[in-house]
Amino acid sequence: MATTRAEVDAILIGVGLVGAILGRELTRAGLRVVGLERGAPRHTVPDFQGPQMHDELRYATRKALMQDNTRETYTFRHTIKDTALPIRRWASFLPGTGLGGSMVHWNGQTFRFQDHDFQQYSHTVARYGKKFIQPDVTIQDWGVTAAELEPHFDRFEYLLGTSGKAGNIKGKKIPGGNIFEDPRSREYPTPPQKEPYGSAIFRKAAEGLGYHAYPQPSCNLSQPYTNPEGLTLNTCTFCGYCERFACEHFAKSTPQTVLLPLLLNDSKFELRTGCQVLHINVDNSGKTATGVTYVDASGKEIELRASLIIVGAYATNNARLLLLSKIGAPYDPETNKGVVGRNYAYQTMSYPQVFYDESININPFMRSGANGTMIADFAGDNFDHGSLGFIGGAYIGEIMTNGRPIGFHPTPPGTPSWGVKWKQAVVRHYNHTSTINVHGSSVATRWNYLDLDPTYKDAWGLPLLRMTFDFPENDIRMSAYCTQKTIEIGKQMGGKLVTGSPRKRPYDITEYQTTHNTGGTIMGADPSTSVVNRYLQSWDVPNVFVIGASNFPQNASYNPTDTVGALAYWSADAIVTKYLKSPGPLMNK
Amino acid sequence: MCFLKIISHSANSAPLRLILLSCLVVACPRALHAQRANESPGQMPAAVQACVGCHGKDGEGNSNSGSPRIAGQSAYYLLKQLDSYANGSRRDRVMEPIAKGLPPEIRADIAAHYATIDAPFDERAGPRRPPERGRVLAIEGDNRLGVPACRNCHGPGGVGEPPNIPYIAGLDAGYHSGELSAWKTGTRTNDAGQQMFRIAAALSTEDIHAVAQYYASLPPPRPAPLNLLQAPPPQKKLAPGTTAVAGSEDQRQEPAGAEQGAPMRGGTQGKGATEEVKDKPAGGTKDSGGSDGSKAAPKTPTTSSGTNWPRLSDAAKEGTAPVLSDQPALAGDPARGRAILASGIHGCAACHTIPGIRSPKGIVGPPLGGVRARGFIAGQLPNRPDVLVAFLQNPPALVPQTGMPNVGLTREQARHIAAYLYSLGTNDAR
Repeated sequence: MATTRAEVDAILIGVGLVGAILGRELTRAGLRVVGLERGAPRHTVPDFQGPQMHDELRYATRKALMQDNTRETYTFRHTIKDTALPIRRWASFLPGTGLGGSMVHWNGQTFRFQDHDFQQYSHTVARYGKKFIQPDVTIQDWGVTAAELEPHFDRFEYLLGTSGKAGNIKGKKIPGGNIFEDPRSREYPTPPQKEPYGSAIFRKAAEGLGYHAYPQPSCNLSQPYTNPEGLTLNTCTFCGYCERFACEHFAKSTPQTVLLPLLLNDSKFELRTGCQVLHINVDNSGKTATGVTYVDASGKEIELRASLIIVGAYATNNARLLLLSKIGAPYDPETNKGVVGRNYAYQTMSYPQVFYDESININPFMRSGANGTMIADFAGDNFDHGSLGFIGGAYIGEIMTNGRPIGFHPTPPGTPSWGVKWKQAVVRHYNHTSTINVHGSSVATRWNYLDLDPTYKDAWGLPLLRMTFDFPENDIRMSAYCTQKTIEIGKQMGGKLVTGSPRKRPYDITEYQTTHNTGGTIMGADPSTSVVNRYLQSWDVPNVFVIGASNFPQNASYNPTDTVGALAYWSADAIVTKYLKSPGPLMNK
Repeated sequence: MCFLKIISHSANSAPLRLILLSCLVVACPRALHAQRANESPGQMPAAVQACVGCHGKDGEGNSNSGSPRIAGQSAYYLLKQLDSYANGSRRDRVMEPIAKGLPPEIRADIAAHYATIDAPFDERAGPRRPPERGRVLAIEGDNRLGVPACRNCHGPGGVGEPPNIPYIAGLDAGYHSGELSAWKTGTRTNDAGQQMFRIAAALSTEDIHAVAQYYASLPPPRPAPLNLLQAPPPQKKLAPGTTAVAGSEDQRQEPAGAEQGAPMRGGTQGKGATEEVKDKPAGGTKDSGGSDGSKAAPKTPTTSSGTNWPRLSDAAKEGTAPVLSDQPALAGDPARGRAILASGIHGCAACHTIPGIRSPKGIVGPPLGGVRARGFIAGQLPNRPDVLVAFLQNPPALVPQTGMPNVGLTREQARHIAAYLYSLGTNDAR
């Protein structure tokens, strides 16, 4: 029997990026907020300090900052005909846990999705016709436009202090930035990070081919920055321990560096760590959430009542929580009915490599997680797909996030995978190899989705989330095309050898690709094909807001964090200015 | 000088010559200096004389004049500071005119000269009991101020990360706090990333004083391996007989690095590029006398052919030597350890049941009988005396999630307590 605790105004499920932003906005609006975080409290000092933080074995190989999959994991299968099995070691993607969430171990790559990403269905139909979209591809519009989100992108980037160069300010294109981006209201808060040597080679090659190179927008800051909340970040030291690690220097924008110190000092906010939310409680009408039930750090089951619930527990966990709470109809691919779990998408990565002779020193260890030069000429719909037979695209960039000793061992094809010859090849190529990211989009399809596993349960006896996914034909074609274009650039980079193959089926859950899982609680204008409305409010239970990459109806070419942050501010704005004044559905069904 | 003569007469094979030369550069800087003086009379002596007056004859520093130790600081760093004094990005009434008066190539020579010196360090000179606040800032940082721990960049024990990050251990506290204040007030701005500006600006005067005191109490590192000293190679100014080999080898590595910045390991893997950097002679640290140094010389770095860049393992070996010396040996006194525990001042027994210590036999933490037979400390650290001593001094620094608080033990106390705990038999566990 659950113990009941005093009622509060709002509950945050998960205190990561979404929790921190919503916590700040809701306490500002006068609400008493409790943040429930399943992981540990952690802070830059003392938890992230060196030299311990550079323990590659602990953090990169054994993934110390990630969700504890001995207690809670997902099961995976490629098709609905297969039997899903639990993922016992994280590899393909790395969901985090603990205060600050996955944003603690992110790389800092900060992009806005483009307007045609938000209108992908109507844009594609208008430009190429309805028949251009392959059967079973279920892309749809988001229900928001880039122009509507611009102030929120702007606010989020100024919160983070993002280092970059604008390519379009109020409609004026600026060479040197991403000229394909939608108009932004002003320049980035801080200038781009320094360009590494390998990236400079890429820039020359890409510009020689007529493409539009620009610096990767980075949340590993290029200079000290004080954000509008009054918190100051340091300059990045290019240590190369970003992704999978926390930053010891206060130089990476994370909830810990941009918001949490204020939120944790706020008397209207209470953080409870070690609290695993089991489900959201809904009253008998099925239309109002009454609170949540969670298990606290001592194993006690607690019921906490509140009038507003914010779900921000990472994309996949958001979908699972709604399924466990029976909010919204679960999606069934056979009947193509239901919504929760629908349109799970990923991203389609490939990594061509340029091998140089020993006169070119790449110094891969001197990097940050978001440091390099890239082109968006092949991202999204920035190029004509008419004759190509696929939609979507990839940004291409020499963005080497690190040269860590355990993980980074480039060797050309034909090298033995172990032994003396392998070691010699690693020594020969370590400092003389550039890796190019081909960061491709992912369409949603009828057969890629999330639901509850019928067999496997977590440590609390609740069904695990089951993931059914393989790369759609559309994305295989996209990857083939964009990887070929990348190899052409690679050949202009002066290396002795360029290698690389496009992404192929089957999807390999044991190989790291990207932690950009999206969908499951998608947003939209139509309740029959979306879980939340354009303000990220549940269609079925209006006092539940679900926020995260789980809102993406399909995934774009760019990294998702900036768009998640903008959506969080967008939703927070709607809650504070509209919902709190008159609680209820913000849109009619 | 006569030693040099012997070399030039007897070392006919190129590899041997190179070996001897390398030894000289590391172990016998003053001999090298004398040699150079011979070659270009009037230049080097005058230049170094300018330094000796304040920084001491071996660059060991002089706390009375507030002149820092410069011996063994990397050539890259020292040259950058001289250039900064010359261009105004670092202000000092004494150093500015001196630096401005030195031609760039002489600055480089001075930097290269001091980088190799293993000057003596008087451990008694530093503060006996540096403030705890200094240690906390150095190894933990301050979350509220947004200040990361010094050791993230300046290395455990403040030994630096040559060539670009200086050692700060063993620096005179007055000098060190003066420099932190200079960062803070903006009279020192030669920091491309503005990290030091930002950190110093967040620190109070008391914090600055505390952290300077802390590092003044630690011994400075010995000079970095020759191969990491990245100043313009001084070898080209050596006597013709010896120059050719070392100088040209070094030159060959230069162009790639010069363009792309700090290829610290570039080209190690070239064919035939094997090189061995052997251990420095034991006890060499304290021997600063020229003749002692030259006796020890034959054991110092030997380079066969190809390249001068070190292997990582060697760099680590060299670089961490002072760290090891900074670690406490287990020379504690079990009786004193027991007395500290029994005093109850630190509250150990409130959480632990400790054989031989009466009441209150807490059960929050594990019982401590038979600690020496356990595999791990706090369930995850290797159970070694040095680790236990470090853990006792500040448990959360080593195991952030531990429930054991920092109870403010000094290293001495931790050493005695560790000695007592290791004296307990496994039977005591029951």
